[in-house]
Formats: sequence, C-alpha cells, structure tokens
Amino acid sequence: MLLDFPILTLLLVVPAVGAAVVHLVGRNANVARLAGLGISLIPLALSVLLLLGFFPSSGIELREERPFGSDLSYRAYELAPWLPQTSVSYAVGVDELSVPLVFLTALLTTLALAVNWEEKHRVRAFYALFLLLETTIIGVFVALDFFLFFLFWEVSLVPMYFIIAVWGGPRKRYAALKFFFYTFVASIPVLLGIFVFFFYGGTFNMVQLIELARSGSLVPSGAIQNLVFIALLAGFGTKLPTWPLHTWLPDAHVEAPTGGSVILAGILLKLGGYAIIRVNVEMLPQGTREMYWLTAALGVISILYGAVVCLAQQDLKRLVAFSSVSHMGFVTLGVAAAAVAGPTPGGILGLGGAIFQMFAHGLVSAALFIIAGSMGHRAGTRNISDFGGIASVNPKGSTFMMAAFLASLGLPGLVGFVAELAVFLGTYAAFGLLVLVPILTVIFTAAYYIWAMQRAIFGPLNPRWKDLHDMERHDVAPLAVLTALFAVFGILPFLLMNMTLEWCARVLGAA
Amino acid sequence: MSFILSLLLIVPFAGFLGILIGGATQARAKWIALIFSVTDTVLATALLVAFLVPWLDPVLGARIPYVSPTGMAAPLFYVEQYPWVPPLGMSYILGVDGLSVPLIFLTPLLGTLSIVFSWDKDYRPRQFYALLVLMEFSITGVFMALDFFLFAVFWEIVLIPMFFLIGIWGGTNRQYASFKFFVYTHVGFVIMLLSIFAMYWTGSAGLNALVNGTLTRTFDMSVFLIGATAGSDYLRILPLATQVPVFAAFFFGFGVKLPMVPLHTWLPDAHVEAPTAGSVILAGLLLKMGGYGLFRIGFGMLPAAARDLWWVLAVFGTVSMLYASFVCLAQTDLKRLVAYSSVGHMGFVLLGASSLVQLGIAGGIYQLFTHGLITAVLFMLAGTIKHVTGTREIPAITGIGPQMPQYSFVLIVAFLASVGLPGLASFWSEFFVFTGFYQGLLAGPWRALIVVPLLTIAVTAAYYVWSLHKVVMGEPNRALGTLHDLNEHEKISYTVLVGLIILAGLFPLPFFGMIYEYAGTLAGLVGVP
Repeated sequence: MLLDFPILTLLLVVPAVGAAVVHLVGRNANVARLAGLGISLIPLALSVLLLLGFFPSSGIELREERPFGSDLSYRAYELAPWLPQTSVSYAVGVDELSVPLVFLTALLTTLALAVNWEEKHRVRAFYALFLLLETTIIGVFVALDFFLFFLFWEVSLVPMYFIIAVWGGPRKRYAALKFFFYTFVASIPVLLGIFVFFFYGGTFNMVQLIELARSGSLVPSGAIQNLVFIALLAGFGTKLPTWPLHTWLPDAHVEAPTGGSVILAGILLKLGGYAIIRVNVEMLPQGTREMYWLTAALGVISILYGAVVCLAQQDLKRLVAFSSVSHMGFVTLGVAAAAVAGPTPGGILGLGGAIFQMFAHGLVSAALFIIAGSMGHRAGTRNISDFGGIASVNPKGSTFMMAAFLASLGLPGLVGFVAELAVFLGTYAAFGLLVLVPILTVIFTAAYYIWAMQRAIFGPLNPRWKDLHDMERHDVAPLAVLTALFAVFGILPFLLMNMTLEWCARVLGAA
Repeated sequence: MSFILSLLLIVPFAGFLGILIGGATQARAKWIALIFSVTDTVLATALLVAFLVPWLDPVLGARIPYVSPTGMAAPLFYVEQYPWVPPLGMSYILGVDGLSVPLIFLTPLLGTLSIVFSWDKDYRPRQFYALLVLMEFSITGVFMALDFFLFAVFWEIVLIPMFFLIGIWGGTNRQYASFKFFVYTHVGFVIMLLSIFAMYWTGSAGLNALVNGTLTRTFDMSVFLIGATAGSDYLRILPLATQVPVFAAFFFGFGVKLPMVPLHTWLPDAHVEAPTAGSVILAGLLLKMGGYGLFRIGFGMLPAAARDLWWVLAVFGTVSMLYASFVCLAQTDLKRLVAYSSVGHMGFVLLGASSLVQLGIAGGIYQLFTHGLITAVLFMLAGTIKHVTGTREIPAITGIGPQMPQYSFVLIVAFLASVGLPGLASFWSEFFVFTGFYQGLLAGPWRALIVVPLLTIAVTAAYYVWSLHKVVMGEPNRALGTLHDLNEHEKISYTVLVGLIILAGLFPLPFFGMIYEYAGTLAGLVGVP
C-alpha cells in the first residue's frame, strides 16, 4: 500500500491542533486526559506506518525520493514554497536516521500522557503542552530546511519551560529558567552555523547542503570548517548533553514532573544527538574527521564523569539524570570512532551504535524516570537509602525497576547492550586499546545500579514500607510496553540496526 | 490621476476636524475618532491588497509604475502630482512602493487600536482623540510624500501633536519629557533641513533636467530617486564628495528618530511619560520614520555615500544593540524596559542596512514593521498593568499569572516575540538581518564579528524571560490585592495585534514580498561601486 498523502505534515499538525482541542474541551479533567491520550494515538499510528514504510516486506510503501538529485534518499518528502525569494521553504522528509526517533517521540508522548494521569493541577493545560511539545520535537526530526529546523528547535523550549515551571518539583522555577537560558544561549552558535552554511551554499535546504558538503563544495575545509564544527558541537552538545555543557540537566530532570522527565530524557536530549549527526557529520565531513580528538575526549569524559558522579547519588531521580549524561557520551564517542575509522565496518558500527544508543536510551531512560516518579509519588521519598527490601511488598514495581536498571547498565539481551557494543567495536577499530577506558566505566555503571537495586529492592524489608502500594495501572502499562521493547530490540536488534547500519555506510561513503 | 493616497490623508484630517467640531462629549469624540480611524485602516488595507493582487484595480486603478516625462521609469506607484509653489519647485507629490506600503498599513492600524485601548480616556477627550487622528494624518504623510518640502512639513507636523500628547496627558515628569522630545527631534530635523537645501541647491536642477526635462531647481524627491538609477550620470551631478556630508546630516536626523545610540536619550523619558496611546504611536510609528528616511533618502538618493559608510551603520547598529540590551537588564520599570528594548531592536535596522545586500536590507525594513506590531503590544501591556495594579515596577507585580491569565498569555507571546522566537513575526526580520550581514557585500574579514550582535540575543532573552518568569510565575505579591483581568476593549486591541504577530510569523509573504522587491532596487543601487 503506497502512502501517498502528506503524512509528515499530518504528524506535525495533529498534535498541535490536538493541543487546542484538549484545551477547549478539557474543562473536566477526565475529558482532558482522555482526549489528550486519544489524540496522541494518531501520531503514534502514523509514526508506526512511517517506520514500516522503510521495510518493503511490511507491505507499506513510502516513495523514496532523491531531491535535487541527491545521493542520499529521503521518504515522505514534502516541499512547499514559504518565502521563495529567500530560499526558505517548507521542506520535510525522513530517512533512516530520523524515523526511529520520530517513532520514539510519538511513543514516549503517549506513554508520558498515560503516566501523567494522576496530575490534578490544571490538567488541560498540562496535556495540551505535551501535545504541542510533540509537534515541535517531531518538527526538528523531519525538517529539511534549516529555517524550519531552527524554528522547531527553538520553539520546543517553550512548552518544556512551562511544564517544568508550573508542574515541577520544589525548585521548579530555578530549574526551568536554567534549562531555558542554557539551551537558548546554546542555540546562538547554531544560528551562526546556519548563516555560514547559507553563505557558502546559497540555500537553506538541508538536502542540498548535504549534497554540496559531500562533494566538498560547502564550507571550505581547514580552519573555517573546524571552527564551525566546534561552534555547532557546542550548540548541539548542550542539548545532548555533553560534559562540560551538561550542568542544566540534573536540575531540569529532577525538578520536572514525571511525564516531563520522560520526554526530556527520552527524546529532547536526542535532538542534540540527531543534530550532531545530521549537521556536523553530514555537512562538515572534514571538520568531523579533523576534530575527532575533541569529540572523542568529550565522549569519554561524559561517560566517565557521569558514571562516577552517579556513584555518589542518593536521590534516585538525580542518579538517573546523571546516568543520562553518561549514556549520551556514547553518542559522541561513536561519532568520533566513525570519524577516525571512516567507511570501514568499524566506523559504520561506531556511527550506527551512536544512533541506536539514542533509540535505546530513549526507551530505557523513559522507563527509569517513570519508576523514579512512581516511587517518589507513592513513598514520598526518592532517596535510595530510605528504601529497603520493597521486593516483597512491591513485586510489579520491583520487577520493572530491575529490568530497567539492567537494561541501563547494558545487560546483554536487552537493548542497551547492543548500542554500547557497537560503539565499543567502533572505538576499538578507531582507537585500538584506548577502548579499555570507556569499557571500564561499565564497571562503575554496573556498580551504582546494582548497589541501588540491592539497597532498594532486596534485603530485609524496611518496616516503614510494609503498606506501600504497588505500582499503579497508569505506570505499569507504559512500563510493560517499554520493557517489552527492551527485550525485543535487545534480542532482535537487526530489526532497526540493519537499516541504520546501511544508512551509516552510505553516509560514510562506503556504499 | 489616482486618488487613493490623497484619500488616505484627507480621511484622518477630516477626522481631526470632525472631532474638534463635533466631539463635545467623551462618547461623541471617541466614536467620531473611531469611525474615521477605521475608515482610514480600511483604505490602508485596500492599498496593501492592491500591492498583492489585482482585485481592487477597477476601484483604485491599475498599479503601474510611475514614468517620468523623459520616459524614465521608477518603481513608485499611485503617484499623484500637483503643482504647489512652482517658482520654488515645490509640488504636492505622493507616491508609494514596497517600503512605504507596509508602514502606511501599520499607521492607521496602530492608531485605531490605540483609540480602542484608550476608550475610557476622560481627561479632555476631544483634544486627545483629535490629536491621535491628526498623528495618523501626519505620519501617513511622511511615508507618502515625494516632495522634500512636503516631507519636511509632514515631519514637523508629527512632532507637534506628540509634544502635546506627552505634555498634557503624560506621567509625572511629562513637561520635561515632552520638551526634551521636541527639542531633540526638532534639532535633528533642522540638521536634516541643511541636507535638503544642499540637495536642492546642488543636484536638483541637473537631475530635474535628466528626469523631467526642465532645468529648474526642484524639491521633487522623485528626480533623485529616479536619477539615482542613472548610474554614472548621477555621480556626475551628485558626486561622492557631496553625497557623504549630505548623507551624514540626514543620518544625524534619522538617527535621532530611529533612535540610534548615542542620540537616543530622548526616548526613555518620552516613552515612559507618554500616555499609553502616545507610547504606542511613538514607538510603533515615529521611530519607523527614522528607518523609512534612512532607506528612502539615505539609500535611495545617496547610494554611493551609503555604500561607503556601511561600516558606520554597522558600528552604530551594533552599539545600539549592545548598549540597549545591557541597560535593559538593569531596568525594573516595565515601561522603561520596553523603551530601551526599542533602542536595541532598531539597531537591527542599521545592521541590516549595512549589509548592502537585498536580504539584509529587506530584513532591516521588515524589522520596522514587525517591531511596530510587537512594541505596540508591549506598551499596551505596560499601560494595562499600571491601571490594574497601580505600578509598573517588575519586583512589585510578581506572580500575577493566576489572577490575570489573559494578560499573562499576551505578555508571554509579546515578550517571546520581542526576543525573536521563531514562529513569531520578528524572527524573520532578525534572521534575515543576520544572514544578510554575514553575506555583507563589503564585510570581508569582518563578517565574523557578527558574533557580537548575535550575543545580544542572549542578553535580550535574559531580561525578557527573567521578567516574564517573575511576573507570571513568581511568588504572588499579597500587597496587590485582587486584580481584574483584561477589559473588553483591551481584549480587542490585544487580539488583533497578537493575531497579526502570529500570522506574520507563520506567513510573512504578504508583507515581506513587496519589501524584498524594494530592497532589490536598493541593493542594485548600492551594489555598484
């Protein structure tokens, strides 16, 4: 079945219009929740169709296009004039890089809305903001015009700012403001990069710019390309986040409401990783190769630093926040490995691992934050040391907690392992035995998670929790979905990895 | 000959007289004002539509470019030409193009919305509404006049009603502010007059011969506008050595109006002391006269000087942006904060102009339009909060979000629009100013210095988001008591403006298209060495 309708525009419009609808009909909180959740199922269905469109055997077909005669192909490509005199157009499309992330966004939004069920304060505004946020995040992933890309990039800050500032924890105002300022200032180097690209390329269309870059006719290599690379790495790296630009993240994650953290960690961070690959790697190839040492260093330090700091955390949510810093370091490291190893199997695995890590971490961190939020809500505390032996009173919650912790530490058979293994293989191909440094941090990661499990779940039951309710339905259902996905993609990673690796091969010039 | 432009002048002037004659009561005065102002707005919208589609051609006449007696064409439309004082070369000439039409659309729009916003003005309402409508007349005249003397007359007529608006209906320091405003802008004008006379005495005769075939001195601006396209012939009549000092004097006059640091110091006092309607007109329209003059006269008639002095524009633009944004960080009075942010935003206009390329110039001109919309909302917000809470001090109006949700929504949109959030009107103008500047024709190795004005965006975001954060979401100030949200006529004004800001943010083409076209003609003039 050929999908011939403007599916991406629909994906963008439905949540935005849905937000307005929720706000209009949602005076009654239950109506707002149901409307919001129901509307969020539409983009979820559309994103599944999109994903299936990349697998010819599924029966769903999306036309493959090579706009402007480009080497790389995109699907569901739509092009409409916007301000033609200035070459700003409405250009959207997906490829193997963006489509898993689009699916992840739609999935996590639905799950976040389910998790938000217990929020009582200003429900319709809360649900509307999540839907609006969905539009802006999907917009970044599908935009193929830099103006459109930047528009969604910036606008995504606004709903998240309000989600944290109005519905967040005790230090919500400080955290929201910090989040907004950091990421807003970080977008200034991005803007600068866009001006440079327009100066050398004469267009804002990202497909054309990528083509020019691949033939070496975009930004001249050498000092200029390296400087632009650094500027964009700083701008996108703040979102990823990479050490040392990560300091907004712990506060934002901890103070955000559970659903907010799910979206923040699960998908907002991936905007940074996506942009690094889409822009830095694809449009500044020589810069990526020459600055490999910076990317590698930042990646390794992030992995190490995040893991070590986790060891000191008592607050479960803060622990998960810092583990996000650590896990996102794999993305940067994978890019560095691909930069050095180039179009070899090692390089392809490095880049493919980075991309798959974004998907994997999206699933895992979403689960982790749901668990942390649920524990905090039911027990009134998120302090790991306060818990003890809750396995006996909270069988469901403990199972999911264990599954998520094991997935996060990279247990083989669960999704995190595949991504980390791919990045390690790439790192070995590129840097040889230096791979031992990030590999050894796996020990730290395992340490803090196993300590947390031991402390919180196992051991003698702390009498304080003998009446602790088990996890509620609206948390169990999303966790069940996520846990199932850990297992599916942990055991059958090729479902996504095959197309990802093929894409990486094409981008790196091997195919 | 076409008549729409004269109609756009006659209607507000008739309104002015009508209010003075018939506006014995507050109700009568404001309704007469509203009727004439709305009519004016409809006419201005018709003019805008005529520039986009040919539907109104049967009524307004076809939109054909003006052709001079010697056959030289100019992209000026709906030109009306009547002799005034022929021996002195003064004529009544009106004409519009892509630069003036968006501004002419903005003028009665902001005029009408300020009348609606000030619906309850009860102190000397007849004079108040009459002066507002008179301002619509004179500002429109500035944007249309194609005779230097007519231009000068309208320019001065703008000053007088504003002087009274501030001086009579203003705040506590109004006498000082109104005098300062008048003296500053008047001195700027007098210096501009020197340039006008210089152009009249040196170049106008030769150009009149070139364009109209008669070798007499004239104040006709079109001979300069059309003559400038003649290339080397123009430089023979008005060489660079003449153009530069003439440009400098004009630049001084327009710089006071824009305003440009360091000639801006009249603005904070004038804006803060003016009544809300006065501030809206002042910030939304009067400042745009400076920008209009820079492009119409500075670039359109003195392109060689503009090209040579591009770096002066860039430096002053950057300084304005930097200085104003940092000063804003220190402001606690909401109105003063908005006033200084206007200074910063007008820096973009200079920066865009300095690029000498079509995209940058278009961005700079579009900034005039978008800033007009946004600053109108901002000053209205300051007015609302003053009359609801009795204060404009940001530390005192914290946490009003829960009690004033509609006000907070407008505040959020307006502040984010002023920050330049994409999706709202001014992101386009600021983005194109920067893109154009980076491509700057003569920028060379200096283009990397774009990071300096680029960083002011961070400072702008800082003071706006910080204020927004405190005002909407801070700890509620118990001392304020119960607050009421927007009243009916405030809602009308805010809805129209916010709607336009969002629409122009998503679909800028109706306004930007004609501006971009006009910018192309300017780029063609300054692009040639």
